[in-house]
Amino acid sequence: MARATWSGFLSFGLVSVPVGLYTATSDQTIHFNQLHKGTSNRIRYKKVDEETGEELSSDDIVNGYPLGGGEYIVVTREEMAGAAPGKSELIEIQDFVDLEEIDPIFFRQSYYLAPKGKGADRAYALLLEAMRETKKVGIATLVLRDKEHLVAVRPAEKVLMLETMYFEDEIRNPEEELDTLPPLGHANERELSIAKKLIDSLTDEWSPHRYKNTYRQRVEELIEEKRAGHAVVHGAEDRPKSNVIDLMSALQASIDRTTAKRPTRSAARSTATKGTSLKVSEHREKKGTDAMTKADLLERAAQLKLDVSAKMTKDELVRAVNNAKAPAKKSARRGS
Amino acid sequence: MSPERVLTDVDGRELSLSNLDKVLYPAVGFTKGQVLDYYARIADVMVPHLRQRPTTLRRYPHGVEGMSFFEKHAPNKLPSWISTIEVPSKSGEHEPIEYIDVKDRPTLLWAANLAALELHVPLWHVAKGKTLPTPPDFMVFDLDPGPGTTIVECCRVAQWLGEFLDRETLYAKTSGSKGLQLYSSVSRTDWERQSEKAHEIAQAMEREHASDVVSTMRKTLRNDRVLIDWSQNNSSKTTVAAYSLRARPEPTVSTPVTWQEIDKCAKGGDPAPLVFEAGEVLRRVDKFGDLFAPLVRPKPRSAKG
Repeated sequence: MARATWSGFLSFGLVSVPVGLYTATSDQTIHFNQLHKGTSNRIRYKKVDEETGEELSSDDIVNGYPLGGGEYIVVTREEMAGAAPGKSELIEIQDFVDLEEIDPIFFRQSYYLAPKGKGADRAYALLLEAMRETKKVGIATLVLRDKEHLVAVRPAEKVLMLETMYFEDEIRNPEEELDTLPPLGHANERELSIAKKLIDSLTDEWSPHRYKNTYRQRVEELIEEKRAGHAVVHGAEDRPKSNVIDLMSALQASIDRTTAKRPTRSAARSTATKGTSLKVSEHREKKGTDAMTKADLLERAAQLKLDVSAKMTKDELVRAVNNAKAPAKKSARRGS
Repeated sequence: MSPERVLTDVDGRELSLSNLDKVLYPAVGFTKGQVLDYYARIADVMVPHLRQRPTTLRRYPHGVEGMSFFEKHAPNKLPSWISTIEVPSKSGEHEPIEYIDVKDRPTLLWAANLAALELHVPLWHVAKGKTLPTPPDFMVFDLDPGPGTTIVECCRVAQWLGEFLDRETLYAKTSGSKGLQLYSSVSRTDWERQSEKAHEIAQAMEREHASDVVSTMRKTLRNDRVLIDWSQNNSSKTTVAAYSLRARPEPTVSTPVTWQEIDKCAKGGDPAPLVFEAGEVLRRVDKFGDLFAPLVRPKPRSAKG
């Protein structure tokens, strides 16, 4: 079972039932990651100071209430926390109303209310049946994630549902929002009756399965087609399996590459483990000279006290250093 | 020719490693590949000290000289085989935090690949059906040398604590930075009692050795003294894990040490013998095994496999 979003008690009058709240709907939108065009690199958003361009951490950011004209009242997180409603453990039904009285505009999000713990079942079932028979909906308030919500508890077929709702002042008035509203009460009787007949002829039972999200289907088909056609940008996580190599070989290859460039004391010590030191350093030496730059080779030659000059080609230097390798190896071993 | 990414097989888990040739310790040229190599080899002894503990990663994406950040929340995009531990916030006001459970070698290497050089763990572990945080597993004394002192003075303080509490019960490791940390197993206690007890012990040491020991954080008192930081005995505090690398100029490691080594360092007066780098630590483990093994809880018996 999913995790409860909230758990507490549903109470009305003298009855109190332990319940958990579970989201009843799921968003099926197809989500994409944003990528840098031509690569599989993800896009990251940074928070920056608009004026200076400096990147900020959340500690540097406060909330300002705009007064207009570039003036703000700064409210800190602590001050906000002080105003937040306390955590509530109770859905206390204050009133029962008829469901038809509530315009659907008030509903925000649906949750299942599940009975929790032993002994809760019976009281829960009693409440559900009573509400179903009286066809009533309970109105209550609830604090969810630091926000106070108006909620309706309503009976569904098998469970109680909880609908979070908008407060009245959150609902916009159409007369303020819309420029034109139609003139009502002036319709011609005959036209009205024809329109009603048309509606009747199209009336059917509500069967949600008949309606499909055709846009999502098309996007899914598009993705499937592109995948079949191998038009896929590979991210790091989904490369073909044939590239998988053993961890220690991958690391050894990297260490060989880098320590050849940088023959430091610490590097030599740290890889020289479990008696493999000699093998590792020989291996490194061989690969090393090829990977070295001319400057590196000259420096190496100087360490080996070789008679070389900057006029020599890289190949000549490589040969000179490799020929002098045996004594160099001995000193490296002593040093490790 | 360093490939940007290599897909590797770590004990049957697929792990994509990036930027292996990148130097993370510029002073000595120690690369990310070498960091991963160290963690791959130390995993057998290190993981038992991390398993079931919500681990905080300290990440150094640009090496030890660049900026770092503590990462508690597990990143959104996790390989499916990584386990997390959900720890509710203390006050219950914030969302719980999903920590990484470094339960095996692939997980440790996954973290190392994020340039998480340092791993920090709390003194408690997760147990099925128990509310978090669970009671402490260890009491810890974090000996932090103040200005004018080094790990040598820490060793002397450790000797006094060893006399006071019994050496048999105390296990020491270097912090890998400057100090020394002493651990002792505890059972059937709670955080409040443990914190009080640790505070009392620190104060007793301070009274007895007033010119060498302090038990408060006050900066002015700390010159030429070792701070016995008892305040680590708190469920919300974390301490660097045994065998974790540290972000110092050299790849030093928080290394378990013997009482013999502590005595020798206290007597010899030279901090150098108690500084261990990655390669040396691997050789020590070959030689001594895991000196912290007595602190590992027996591996939980799982119902199936």
